[in-house]
Amino acid sequence: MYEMYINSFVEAIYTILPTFGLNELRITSLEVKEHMYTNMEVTVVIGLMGSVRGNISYSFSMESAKKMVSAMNMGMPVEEIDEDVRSALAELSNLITGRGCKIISNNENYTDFTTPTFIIGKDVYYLMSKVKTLAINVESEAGEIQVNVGLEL
Amino acid sequence: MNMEICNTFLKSVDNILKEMVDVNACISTDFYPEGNEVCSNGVCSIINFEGKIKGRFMIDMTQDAFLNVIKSIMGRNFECAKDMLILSAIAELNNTIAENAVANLNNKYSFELKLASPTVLVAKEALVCIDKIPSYSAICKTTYGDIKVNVAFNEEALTNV
Repeated sequence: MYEMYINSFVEAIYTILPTFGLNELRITSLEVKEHMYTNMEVTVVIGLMGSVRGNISYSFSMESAKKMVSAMNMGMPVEEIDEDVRSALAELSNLITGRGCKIISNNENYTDFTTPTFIIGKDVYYLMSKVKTLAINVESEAGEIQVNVGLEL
Repeated sequence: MNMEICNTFLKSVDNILKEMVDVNACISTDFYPEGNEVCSNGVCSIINFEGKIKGRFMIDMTQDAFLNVIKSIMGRNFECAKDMLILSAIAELNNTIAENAVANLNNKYSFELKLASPTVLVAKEALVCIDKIPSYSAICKTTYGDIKVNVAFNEEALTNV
């Protein structure tokens, strides 16, 4: 069951990122962690509700966040993480999560998701799930995205 | 209605802190607007909710205040805030507070709110934001230290409720 949910979000990443011209995607690591720690400065957290309860987060370095938004804006340069950049990253996170939830719902497991919450800071230690967190590192032309999925199954 | 929603969460904080942590919270400030960016003091627990309105409930405190609260819950000292066990305890506290508040709001206003799982974070400096959704904060003074209560929700949805 856990694999089904994880595969849904991995499939969503591989579906959504190429729509912004990011085609060279590679999963560089996939591991189960007791807790979530990231040294990346920008994290978007989205809550999941319905057939499964939990959280999914997308972490970016400052540089990869700017490059990601630049790719979403047809290559327009991005100088700083302002409200427009946060909106774009929130939209990207919404698209991936929404796609993942749709794939899950196709398997007759209804899942909905909340508004994204941004957390900006260095060396942030997280608890996202009472159980375990699965960490997926995805390498792209815009840099690395750390996806953490914490589900209460 | 904005303040009624915020005060429902605040009342829940007061009730649950008394029940679970055996501490009286003295509300030292009324809710004040904090925009859509909130700077964490060290340890914060965030729980998002969705329904006829959507938003976030957050409790935030310094690491020292957090360790004091944990000592009261767990009955012993902990040296470091980055401990899964005690972070789970604060997540559970946040969850209980939010469940209580959301139940009251659903009963009174039929908001049909559901909660996601809590997220807890520990950082020296972290900024927490939900864009385009303003938030309101109040400070509770306790014997363990100050606890900031922050509630964010999309006010424009209230006109449709």
